[in-house]
Amino acid sequence: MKFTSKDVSKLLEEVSGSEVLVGHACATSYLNGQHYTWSGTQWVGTYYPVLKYPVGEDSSSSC
Amino acid sequence: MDSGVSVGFLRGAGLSLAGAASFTLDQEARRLESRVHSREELAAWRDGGSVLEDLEDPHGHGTAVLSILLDQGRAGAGVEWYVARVLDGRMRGDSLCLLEALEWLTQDVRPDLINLSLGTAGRAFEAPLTALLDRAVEQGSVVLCAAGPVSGLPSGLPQVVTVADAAMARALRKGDIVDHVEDAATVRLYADGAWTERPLTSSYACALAAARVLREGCPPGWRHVTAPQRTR
Repeated sequence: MKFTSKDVSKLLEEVSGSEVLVGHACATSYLNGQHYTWSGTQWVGTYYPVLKYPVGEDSSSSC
Repeated sequence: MDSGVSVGFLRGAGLSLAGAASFTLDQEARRLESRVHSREELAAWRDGGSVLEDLEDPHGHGTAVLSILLDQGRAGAGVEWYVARVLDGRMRGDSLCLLEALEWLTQDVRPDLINLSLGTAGRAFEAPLTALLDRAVEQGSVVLCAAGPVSGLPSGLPQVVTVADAAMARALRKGDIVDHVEDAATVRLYADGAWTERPLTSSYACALAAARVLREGCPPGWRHVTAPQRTR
């Protein structure tokens, strides 16, 4: 294994908060205020009137 | 590029990875760590001779995406597979890891096809991301990216082919940022240790489109998507 560790403190200072990257497996589930998760057998939906990202994160994922 | 891969899936599928790497950001230490594994290390992992925790998929998203590529792509034995893990067990990561993974792919691997079933709503790293995707496209890579529920990156960038499932495309009003729509309602994939049928999402639609490229070749216009054709 080739291991490298890079100092990114300067880069992080230039951005506001963290730049969160997410998988879009269930991205569709966040549309129109609906958040669905896969229960193993079916999609289970919960209504969220406002799409709000967690503090310090810029995007979100549903599953 | 995703949340890693289940070694159990690799064993079951008899798949040998040509290369793999994981990228993580230590927020406290403010250091970006990269672990690049050789073909030999990956073979030992698959065969049970070692453990590579940094590549193991704790979520299942990356494994599901790879399983679609394998199942639907019907790629020949000559295809080499590379995995870049940038998402954690909650299917989250940092855009810096995406940049570093693209750096690895474009410098060391130079793949023909890159699947990005992920994205970010932040645009702070748009410039370096654009530069890396430019490099990938100039090298001949076809880059497919899943559309997100809100405007973000890398979806919508002119260097990538932005893919959505039908529901997502309707919500995003196809033509704004979506280049290709997969209309299937469900998709066969590997999840929780077995092959199963799941509803199509934009992530899986992206993998289906990538599998189409593997199976049928690159459709006209996908290799270079030009910016003036679309607005955000």
